[in-house]
Amino acid sequence: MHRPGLEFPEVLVMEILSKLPVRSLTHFNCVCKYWCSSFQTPRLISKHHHNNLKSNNLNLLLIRCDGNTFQPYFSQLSNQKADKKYVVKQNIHLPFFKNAIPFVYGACHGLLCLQETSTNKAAIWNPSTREFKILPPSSIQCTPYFSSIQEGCLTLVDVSFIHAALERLSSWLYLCKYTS
Amino acid sequence: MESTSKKVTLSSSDGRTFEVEEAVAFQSQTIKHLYEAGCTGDFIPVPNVTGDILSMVLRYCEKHVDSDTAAGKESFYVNKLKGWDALFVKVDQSILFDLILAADFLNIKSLMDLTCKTVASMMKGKTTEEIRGTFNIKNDYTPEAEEMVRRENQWAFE
Repeated sequence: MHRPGLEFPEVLVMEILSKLPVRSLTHFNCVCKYWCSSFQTPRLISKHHHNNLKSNNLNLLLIRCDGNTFQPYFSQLSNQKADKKYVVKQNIHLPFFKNAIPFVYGACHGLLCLQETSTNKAAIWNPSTREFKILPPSSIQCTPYFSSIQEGCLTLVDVSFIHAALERLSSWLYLCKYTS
Repeated sequence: MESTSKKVTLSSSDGRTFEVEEAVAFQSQTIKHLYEAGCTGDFIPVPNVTGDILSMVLRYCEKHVDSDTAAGKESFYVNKLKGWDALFVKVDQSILFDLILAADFLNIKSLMDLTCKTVASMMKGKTTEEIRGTFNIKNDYTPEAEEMVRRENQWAFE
């Protein structure tokens, strides 16, 4: 590629980078420290999010289980190029949930809250960047009747806790809507 | 229809002048604001853009002048325009970077989107080293630190 003049403004470089898919951005974390830290800034993240919403591609995640190893994994389905037909773009294995299929408790701005019922492990996962944040166990004791996360629904305490956790994690919150 | 045929004259950084219809020139928010602010002398200066690039930009604006009208939004015209855009950006990369600078200065959002998307799609699949070359970036990682960042983001390299 041709090199632009030295004076090519950084803000325009970021404008170009905001059009890249998450995979390329993640790859280019290695270019230099400045790029790596820029990709975490709310400015670039919201711009990227906005560009993706405009592109109007529909991406779906399908939770699956390997027939031989019984390892759970997600398949990313996309209709980006194949018109109305969905194709599996990639399979994503989850290091955190190795032996049991996690439940998806909810989604917010492209983040998923996953929970594995047998061990009660919970995590917030960004399928686009593959980032995981493991949630610490709740310090609040619920009555047995209401501590129903195992029963398949969240208590109010848990819900607000997740929202609080999401707010703290806002720096990586929005690099989300699944892209190629 | 007097208003549509009104002309303005633009002057590039190398002194070339271009007479275009107002509707064409006003796709540039910068020119529109300059004009509205009373910059209505013999010509409106565009000091940051050369004549060659400005003539390309104006060709783009002429083509896109109807894109906001009801007729321009019909899928037949939208697709035709997309085809035209694809050919328009088939230029040397240095020209693409100049077009981005011009689109930024002149504040033409759709041209900015088009040119940035084109450069972005050229970057896909390039190695880190090639990207550093393109943007004149000095690698400020130690080899160990770079290896660590690479390992943390391994999935994007597969």
